Amino acid sequence: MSNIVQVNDLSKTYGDQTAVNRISFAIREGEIFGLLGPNGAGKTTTISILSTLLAPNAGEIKIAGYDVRRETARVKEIVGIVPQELALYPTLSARDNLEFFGQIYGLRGRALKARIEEALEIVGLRARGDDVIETFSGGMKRRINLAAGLLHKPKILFLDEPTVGVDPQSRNFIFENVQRLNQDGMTILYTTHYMEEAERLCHRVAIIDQGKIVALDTPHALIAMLGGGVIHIGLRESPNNVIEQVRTFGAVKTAQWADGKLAVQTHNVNAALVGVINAFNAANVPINSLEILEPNLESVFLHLTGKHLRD
Amino acid sequence: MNFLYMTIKDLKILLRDRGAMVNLFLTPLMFIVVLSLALGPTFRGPSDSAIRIPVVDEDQSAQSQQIVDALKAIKGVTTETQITDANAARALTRVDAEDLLRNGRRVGAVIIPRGFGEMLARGETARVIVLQDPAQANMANVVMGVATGVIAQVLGDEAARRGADAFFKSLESVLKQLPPQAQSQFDLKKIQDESVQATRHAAENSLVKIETASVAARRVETPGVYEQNVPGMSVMFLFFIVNYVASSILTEKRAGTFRRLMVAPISKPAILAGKLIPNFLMGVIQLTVMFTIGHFVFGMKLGNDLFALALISAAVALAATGLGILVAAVARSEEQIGGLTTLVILTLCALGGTMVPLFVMPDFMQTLARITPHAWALLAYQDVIVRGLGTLQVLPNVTVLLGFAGIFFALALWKFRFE
Ligand SMILES: Nc1ncnc2c1ncn2[C@@H]1O[C@H](COP(=O)(O)OP(=O)(O)OP(=O)(O)O)[C@@H](O)[C@H]1O
Ligand SMILES: [Mg+2]
Repeated sequence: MSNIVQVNDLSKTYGDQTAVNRISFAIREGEIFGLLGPNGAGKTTTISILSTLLAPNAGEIKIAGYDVRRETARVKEIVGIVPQELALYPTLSARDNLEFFGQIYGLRGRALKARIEEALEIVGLRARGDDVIETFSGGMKRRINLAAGLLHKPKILFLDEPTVGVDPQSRNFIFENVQRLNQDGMTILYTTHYMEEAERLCHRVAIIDQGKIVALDTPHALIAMLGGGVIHIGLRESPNNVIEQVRTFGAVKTAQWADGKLAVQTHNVNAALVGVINAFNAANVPINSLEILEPNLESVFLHLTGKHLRD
Repeated sequence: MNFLYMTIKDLKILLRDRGAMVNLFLTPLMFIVVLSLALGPTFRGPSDSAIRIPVVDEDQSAQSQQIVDALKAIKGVTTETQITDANAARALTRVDAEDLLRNGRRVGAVIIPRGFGEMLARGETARVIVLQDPAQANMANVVMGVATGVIAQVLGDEAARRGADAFFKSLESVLKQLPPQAQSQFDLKKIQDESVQATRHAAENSLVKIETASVAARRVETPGVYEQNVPGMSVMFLFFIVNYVASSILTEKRAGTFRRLMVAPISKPAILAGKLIPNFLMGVIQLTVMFTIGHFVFGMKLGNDLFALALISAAVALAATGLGILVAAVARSEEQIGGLTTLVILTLCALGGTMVPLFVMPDFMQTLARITPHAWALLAYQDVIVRGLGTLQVLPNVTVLLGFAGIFFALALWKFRFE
């Protein structure tokens, strides 16, 4: 598979605040690529730059071989965007909205009509097409928001947190839409701060925090980093001899001391847990806190950044 | 032609916005009706209800007093011997009378020069001067006739009196037949014929020689109540479009639809044009509706040059739209837009003569008004509908309005942020 998006050393600052800090990644044609990170991580900024909306301070971006800064017009034709906000005209009907967004992409006449119906069909809202957006539920608005990004059949679709504030039913609907579009050949860049979404949808995930990519791999491989799970033990001081002892346990992969916390990667949390606690008891070292990280992307994020995805 | 689709889209949004429609169309109509009913009487010009004749008695003799009294006694004619100046009344002077004519407030005046009484006593021919505005020759002849008749009466010249009596009867009967406000529709031909005859007749026999002097009015007409209020309120509420231009841009930015536009293959100028044209069209439609209703419902005159009106409307609508984009470029929030537009619109409206007519403002205020597009638009409109001027004469005002639009756009482009 070739790379449809190639990002090298991309940086963006707002005043003296660095929103994106020298990130590099590539998206392969035909994949669903996730950008997972907490609020303010730089996801929207990255998408905005990739979709020609913002100029970066530094870095090189190619989309389908076109330079985003120099060959803007070409890039615009290839890219579709579903903004994080509900970017719709609330007092117009769904069809009027789609008609307008189709028109600004150069669609006219019958082709436009056909595309509007197709897009409404994809998001399952044909029956409500003539209703005014204001009268839609949050989830339905999100679905029209998605439809508006699909009209010109983009090769690559940027979805910026498309499920924020959505009921489970609409969320499932959007998931299925995204998967179907992808199966039909569309490359997708999907940002989210929900680890379940990234795990379930994305072929590969870049974990982003404070403008930096801290890990990039398939969800499976990322979770495998944690092995059978991680135990975080809070301690007052580093008891080197106990740590050495813990490292010899069969169920333990590694044990790292940092920031008043011992992070124990295991092959199996349950098998390791009793032994580890016993070791500290025997050495008379008091345990301040104990946290068990299940093997999932949330834990990976916590493990890598020391923070939770959602505060 | 993407901006065309943006135009259609924005017009759809605006037309569905009931609040906007009420603000742009119903509110100004309501204001026109209320203000016109309330202020109607103050607009009825001095010569509407009665012919007002300033009388300057420089002689202050018994004979001159007799003439003044006789003038005062005439029905249908109001004589003015005093003027209120800085809230104190004082005797009218020749200079005052000339000013009144020059400002188009009166069409004629009678001056009794110093020495009038003495000359009469000595049996010499005394002089009375009638000032008249040559542009208002017909009306001035009425004044002339009045003066002649009165002098004849006072001097007891039988022949002259008979002529004058005949004249006055006809004048009075003519006046009575007319609605009080329809001064311009006097059967002046008849009055003129009568008065000329009477004048000639009297002059032959009189001891008094009546001389005439011309004082041309600078601007003869002032607007009637609808000629003031329809353009005034239309221009005032036209500028409410500023609010809609600015908030529609800000709303798009906040809702994220502006992002969609920016990401789509449309150029930035096309995006701005797409925000500008619909609101410009709305402004032109608004002005057209107001003037149409003003004409057909309120009987406002439209003048002789509809093209000139269209030109002024287009220019002022462009200026209003430009101001809207400028506000959008400067304001950072809905609250700022609300505050800015209220301040700017109302200040400009008040200064620009849309609320208080320019012609009642003191001179320095009339000069100050020229910093607003409103004043330029209003004066141009009134040149056409009140003074009967045409396209050529309003071109300077139209140019100034386009200048305002140009400055607003330039500043807006300089400050506008597409992000
Ligand atoms: N227009 C702007 N001006 C100044 N700072 C900005 C601007 N837009 C974003 N930032 C800052 O840049 C950083 C990254 O913001 P960004 O919107 O890209 O984050 P995000 O990952 O999309 O967050 P979220 O999940 O909340 O949408 C944040 O610290 C934010 O405050
Ligand atoms: Mg975001």
